[in-house]
Amino acid sequence: MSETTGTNLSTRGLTKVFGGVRAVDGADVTFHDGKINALIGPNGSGKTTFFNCVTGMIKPDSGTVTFRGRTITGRSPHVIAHAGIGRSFQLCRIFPRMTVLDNVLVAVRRTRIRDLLAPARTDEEVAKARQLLVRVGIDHLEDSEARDLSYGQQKLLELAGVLMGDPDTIMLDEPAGGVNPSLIGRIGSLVKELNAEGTTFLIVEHNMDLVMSLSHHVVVFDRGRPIAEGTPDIVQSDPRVLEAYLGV
Amino acid sequence: MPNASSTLAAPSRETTTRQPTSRRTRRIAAALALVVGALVVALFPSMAPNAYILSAGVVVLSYACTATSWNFMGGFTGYISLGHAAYFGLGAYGTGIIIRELELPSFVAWALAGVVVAIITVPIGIAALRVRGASFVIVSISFVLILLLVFQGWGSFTGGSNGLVVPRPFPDLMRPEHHRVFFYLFAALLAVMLVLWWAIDRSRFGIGLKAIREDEDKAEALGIPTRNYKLVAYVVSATLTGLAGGMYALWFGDLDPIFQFSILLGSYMVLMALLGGIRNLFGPLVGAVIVGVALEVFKLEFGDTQFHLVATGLLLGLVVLFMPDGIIPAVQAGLRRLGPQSSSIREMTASELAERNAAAGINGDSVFSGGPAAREQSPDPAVARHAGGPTPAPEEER
Amino acid sequence: MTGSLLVQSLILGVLLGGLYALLAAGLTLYFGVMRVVMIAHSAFLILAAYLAWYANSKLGIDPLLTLVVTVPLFFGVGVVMQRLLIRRLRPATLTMMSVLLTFAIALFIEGLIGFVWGGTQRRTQLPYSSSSLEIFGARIAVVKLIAFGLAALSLLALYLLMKHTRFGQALRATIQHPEAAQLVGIKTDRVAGLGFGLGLATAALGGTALSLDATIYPSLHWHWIGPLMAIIVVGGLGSIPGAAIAALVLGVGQSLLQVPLGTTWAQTIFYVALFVTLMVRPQGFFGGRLAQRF
Repeated sequence: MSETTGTNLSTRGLTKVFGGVRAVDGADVTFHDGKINALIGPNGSGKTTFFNCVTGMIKPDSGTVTFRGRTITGRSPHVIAHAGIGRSFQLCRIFPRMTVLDNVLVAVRRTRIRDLLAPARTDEEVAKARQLLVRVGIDHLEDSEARDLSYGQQKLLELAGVLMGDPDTIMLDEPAGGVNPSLIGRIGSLVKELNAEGTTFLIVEHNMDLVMSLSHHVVVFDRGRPIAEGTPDIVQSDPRVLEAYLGV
Repeated sequence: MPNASSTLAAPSRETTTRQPTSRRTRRIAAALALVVGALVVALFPSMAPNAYILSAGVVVLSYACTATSWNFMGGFTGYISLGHAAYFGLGAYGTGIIIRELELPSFVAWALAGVVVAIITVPIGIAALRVRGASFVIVSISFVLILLLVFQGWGSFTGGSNGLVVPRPFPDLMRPEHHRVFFYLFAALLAVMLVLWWAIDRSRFGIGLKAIREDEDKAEALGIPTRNYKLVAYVVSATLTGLAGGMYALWFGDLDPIFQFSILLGSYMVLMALLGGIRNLFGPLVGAVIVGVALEVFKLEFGDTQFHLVATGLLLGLVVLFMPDGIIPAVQAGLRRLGPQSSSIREMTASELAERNAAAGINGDSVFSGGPAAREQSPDPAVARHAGGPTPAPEEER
Repeated sequence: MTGSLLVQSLILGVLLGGLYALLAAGLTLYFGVMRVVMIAHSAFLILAAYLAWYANSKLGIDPLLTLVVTVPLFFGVGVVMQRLLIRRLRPATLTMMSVLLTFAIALFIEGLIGFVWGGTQRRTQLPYSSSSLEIFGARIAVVKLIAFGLAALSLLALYLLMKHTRFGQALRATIQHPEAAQLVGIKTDRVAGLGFGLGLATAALGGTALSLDATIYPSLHWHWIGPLMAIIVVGGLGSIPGAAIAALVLGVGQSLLQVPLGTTWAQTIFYVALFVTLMVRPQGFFGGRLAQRF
């Protein structure tokens, strides 16, 4: 692993205010390219709001978001997806009444106007989708409706759908939330595999074991801004982090 | 212990060989139904006992057209427009007014009216699609109500409450012939709509629209330009509805704001599509036939009372409460239950299962008989049903 | 416009706005407690008006007295409707399906009214129908003042109920945050049913007020639900004060426009306001915390 790390995603002065609450408060954050980055912090520290500002779900009030040198502040979610950022949702979101296969087929990098009426289920795309389903481990559910899957299976499906778009960077919002330990392990290994293949990760997570075992770079949020960052070891022993979590 | 990763060691082949058989029989059945349907349509005018029945047939076909055109928006994107009659009326009046002002041949005016509707719908769609769900329904109702007001009030241009007379395209035809020609014209329009619906349904555009229907924000996060997609679907839906309205104007010849911009007509469209099944190609058509025929029967039985409102309200309410997916899916589900059971999750023979269990150290009873593994499953009985009896659940843990 | 005509239009606008405000408040209640867009609200309004007219023309009772029967009756119907019908809908598609269901109910009621009483226009004739008072130089019909009085009193009662009673508190909590309300022990299901009943009670009050002065016919409800829905969107879905303010503003606007433009065109103000709201501030102007994107 090289020591020089390029910047994948960075924010400068990112701010979002809800009513009187400064959910994100002038956040300056840098995520490293090619690495597994984690964003942790106590509940209410603004992680998910930060996440949503970056991915375009919410328009920030001020500040900038830069991705690989390109400013993406306030762009629509689909533009950000086309730029190469894929994301998962905190409460896993899939398309309940579509089949598992169709769920994966939906993600497209970009469709030209003349391709709009082209069939959705070309051999090429279907093969790629099937491959992804095999990779995450739910290929045998290909024809089931997504709503019939268990929560853990849906999480894997969500990931397969994100991967279909060939993102350079994947942002995961609490991937370990609500799933059993063996599946957490599976997700962890998938993340490691994909990272080894060159995908950058930004993971918001509460599961400390997962964070510490997986991440190269950890950013700690409290009250809307980063208060510490570094490798897992450094962050773990930082007194400010302890203070933030225990509210002392 | 079996878990998500280990179950995948041998990807199933059974499912793929099972499906084509039942898929093929379904395809044959569908093709057969299509041929029969086409024959019925082709022969109906000859078989109709009198001109009145024939004109009723034209009305039913016009309903089928509007319900199908409505379904381009309601079925694909899930945005329910209760005011779609607005576009029907715009197409109808547009055709009439263009013939009057520009003195163009009937069908040229008709096509031009369609273009005008398409153009008008763009800014309306941009405004209306800024909201979703219930707000969108409210906006759609408001739109048809305001058009009603405008067309009633602007007497000098639209004829106001006195209505507008649209000259017939074939003035020399006797009435039965007139109905017959328009029966086939509406059938042709319906066929075009059905083909377009089918094309979109299997296309990338279609799958994007359906994703919007399922979860709009998620679709956007996956790269679907939801605003543009919705707008295109809306404009297409409105234009087709407008064309149906224009055709109606040419056939019926007499327009009145109250009947053209009517909430009732809009509710018929929704009822028909819902009743037949909004996710199906032929759903609106089936619904239109059922409701259209029922309406004609009511008219004959009960005359001109308000009873058809009561009946429509009752029927719509019942469909919403008890059959929200419509008839076609209910029938399909029923047929599936009667036919050979195919499961969409890999099935094993008993010996394979015993083998596998032995290897994993489980013995005897079903994995569903208690323990943390069973609780790991989603409580939805549909999952158990899909999984078939003895198939071990992939999410299992001991 | 001459001065006295202006004053008269203003006053009439306020009177009309009061009635709109009461009805819009009711419409907001259904939406607040259950995210239901109750399209049948105005149909019940017209039904109440018909009942009042019928009691007056056939039994000689003053329409206002019918309130004694219609208000509790409609309240009960509202509770029953919520329990039997609305609750049956699947939560995932609740808002959409409730629109269709209440739309169906509206059609049903309109048909019923037409069936029972025919399609001819009706008007309540009262001994005091033609008397008027002079206010600030404008002649205002007494019936309009009574109608406004009824609406204003009802709104006041509603306000007191919501702000100063336990039930009102529970109602407000359920509207703002159903989960949190459940956590503190509020039976949100029962509150929702009562909220629904309250909404329909406002329809009874409004309908009676309407019967004093307006010509009624079965399809009249479409001329009310359109403006009412526009009002609650402009005010902000879920906000009762927002709905009331928007109602007054638009009521006055409609009244002022009636002189130069006539009745038909004056009604378009609601839809123009709706369009502007959508373009400029889709979540509504006067509040409405619930106005996310549904």
